[in-house]
Amino acid sequence: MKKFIVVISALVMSLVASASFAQSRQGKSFSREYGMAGCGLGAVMMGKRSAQIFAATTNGSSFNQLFGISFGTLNCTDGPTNEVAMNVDKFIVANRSALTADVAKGDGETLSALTQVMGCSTDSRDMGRLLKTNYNQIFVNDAQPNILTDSIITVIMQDSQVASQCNLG
Amino acid sequence: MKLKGLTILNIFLGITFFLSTALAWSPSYEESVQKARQLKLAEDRQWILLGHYKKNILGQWKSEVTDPAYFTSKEGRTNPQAELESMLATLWAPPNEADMDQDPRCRFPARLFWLKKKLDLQGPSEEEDPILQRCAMYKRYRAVIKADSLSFVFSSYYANSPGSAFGHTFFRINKKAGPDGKHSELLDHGVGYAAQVTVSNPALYAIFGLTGFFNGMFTNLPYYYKVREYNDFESRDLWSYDLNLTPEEVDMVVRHLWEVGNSYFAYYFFTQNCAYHMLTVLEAAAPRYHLLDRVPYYVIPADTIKAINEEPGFVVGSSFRPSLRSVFIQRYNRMQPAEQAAFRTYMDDLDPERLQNQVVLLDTALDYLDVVYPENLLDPKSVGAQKKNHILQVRASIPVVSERFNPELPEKERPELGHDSARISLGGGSNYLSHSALDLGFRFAMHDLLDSHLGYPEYSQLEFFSFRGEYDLEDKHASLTDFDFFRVAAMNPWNLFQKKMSWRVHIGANRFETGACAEDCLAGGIGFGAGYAKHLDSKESVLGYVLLEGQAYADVHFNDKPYKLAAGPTLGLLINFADHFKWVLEATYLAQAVHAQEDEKIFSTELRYHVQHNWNLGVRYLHQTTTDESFLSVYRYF
Repeated sequence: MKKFIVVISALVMSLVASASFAQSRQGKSFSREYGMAGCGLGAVMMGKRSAQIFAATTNGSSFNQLFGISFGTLNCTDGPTNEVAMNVDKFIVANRSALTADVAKGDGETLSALTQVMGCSTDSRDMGRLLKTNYNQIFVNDAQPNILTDSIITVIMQDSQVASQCNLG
Repeated sequence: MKLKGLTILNIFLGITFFLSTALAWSPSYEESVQKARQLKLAEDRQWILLGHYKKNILGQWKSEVTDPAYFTSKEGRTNPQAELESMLATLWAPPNEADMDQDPRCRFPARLFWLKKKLDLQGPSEEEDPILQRCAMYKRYRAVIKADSLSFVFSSYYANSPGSAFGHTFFRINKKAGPDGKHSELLDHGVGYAAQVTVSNPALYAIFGLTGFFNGMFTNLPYYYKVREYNDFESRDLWSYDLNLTPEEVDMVVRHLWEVGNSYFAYYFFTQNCAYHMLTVLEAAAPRYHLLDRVPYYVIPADTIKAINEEPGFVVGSSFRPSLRSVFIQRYNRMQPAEQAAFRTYMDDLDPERLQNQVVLLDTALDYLDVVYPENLLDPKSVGAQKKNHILQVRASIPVVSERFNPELPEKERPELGHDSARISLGGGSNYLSHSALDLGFRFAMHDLLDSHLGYPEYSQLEFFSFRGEYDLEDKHASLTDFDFFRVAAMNPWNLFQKKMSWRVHIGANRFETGACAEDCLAGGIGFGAGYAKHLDSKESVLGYVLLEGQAYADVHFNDKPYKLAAGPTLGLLINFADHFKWVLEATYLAQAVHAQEDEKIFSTELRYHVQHNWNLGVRYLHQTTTDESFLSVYRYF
């Protein structure tokens, strides 16, 4: 349990630290006025207890969020700027592991969902092919969610066909 | 006295607005209240359900919602009539300028919608109503949810956790497809009810969960959070059942979830738990269904799945999302023998070279690493995540695109097939005194290793409150022979995918005969065992196990000392014949710590026949050092 909390705290702190900088790299980047600290799986599952017999039954959680903010938590604020980047950031924070695997393989359900979140009408296999070819450019080890988002959007904008199917401005 | 022009204007606007809202609904409040009383709306099934009112022991109404803000009347919690009239009055009240989202018209869209419909109130439509258009949070909620249909989702048990057999239930609100016809289940919404846990001490956690000291609240998250949490992190399968609801009923669920989602209840683990509130919300929105009638006072989530499947026409489809662990095992089983052999070498040392850059091996390794290192999901810097990153880079460099994995649905594990959780038994035979006797058994919940495992984990036992009593026909004497507060066992077959110990524990009172006691004693205590289990045949129908057991009991009638301490080995076999018969054989030797108490040599066997759903026939034999007993019993589940 302690190890769990240490891991989660480290993750949360690193997310907060990265989100407070406006990252600029080659290609497109978006400034963000919000923090992703509360969006991750750790925040959702922080209440899970190591006493498994109870965890499985009450499914208690200390996760507290306003029912209406459907895409986030109190700590995972919604800003009006750059809605696409924000939605993709949130999606990546929660789905990172499955998304990375889908891109490495070239297709998958999580990749398909990401395509929708980005508002692209692209077929998931076309998106998969594009992102897979650029896997190493996108998935630099330890990349923070907002960097990942920027990289993905940059790669899309470099492909005229896919870019035309997305409305990324 | 001069008034400033602006003040006059404000007053004028205020009055106009007030008059416009006051006149917005017709007929008047007074007439509407009269009509409501004539129609006895406060006693209407749906009004009672929407208020979550229940009659207490004294026959008085009390709402299960404990949040006072859920009610517009001070007596709202205990008086459905007062609440109705007070809620109705809000339609003519001035808007809450300070915080529009807290205005009752924004806060209670289900109950107000229902009142307007039942009383046939004439006024602006929701799209034209200037007040409702100012409900920013509620509007945003509706815009994001875009509900099209509803599914009931059940997360099943997970390995080595018998307690998880209770299961957990929540909703999935399915979105309408987008303009291009695309729909992704991951982007639907998962709505669940859970306790807001505020303590970390396990004892307090248990006590508070049982006695309603935690608040219970609804949460609303994109469905992908549920998939990651249950499928990936906890390796639990997700079974979902599509519900037959009209568009109006779906709309009402969404409205009512807004009402209860922003309030709280008292959470009671046994009764008003996650599964219970899924049903209360469904019935409140679709009162034609009588789901709560199908579950007893205590609600076991696994039972609610059977309940919804038994309600005629309620479930119109089902689907299955396997856990990561299930996917991995299915992937492995689909590989060619040569591939499996290569993969086994990878499992030994996790050396990526062993995967030989083969797509099928790499894809399987990706899932395997997530099963072995669940923290991959939370920490991209963990050891497991780094191993996975390496495999990912190799995989990405191979241009082949993987086909989507189509999991097999394990029909035998369908939760709705499970036997009911309470069980009663009646039998006859010969007791330990070699007298003819009747044997009576009762179990509150849930499942033992000889019950049919359809819909249950095959090697988990979880029993609460089980009693056994005997009536000696010769002595005409009734006695309680066993009472177990709980009995839990996890037999984990040692195999390629699972290398875990097996264990069992029980707490209760059991009868001890001569050898330990001068006469019989019913002593309270605890028994526990740990060891290993393994399948002895390739069909995996014979499980052999070795356990080291210990027990500690207390009773003043024990020989010499008022306690009994013993320990020793158990050898056992659990055999499954064609999923219709279960046969267990066990031999145990217990060495006693107290010299005056005899060492015990125990041999027991039981054969159970699963006659049909909810009926079993069993024959058992028990030899304890110097005595024998055997019984033939009928078991009924309900």
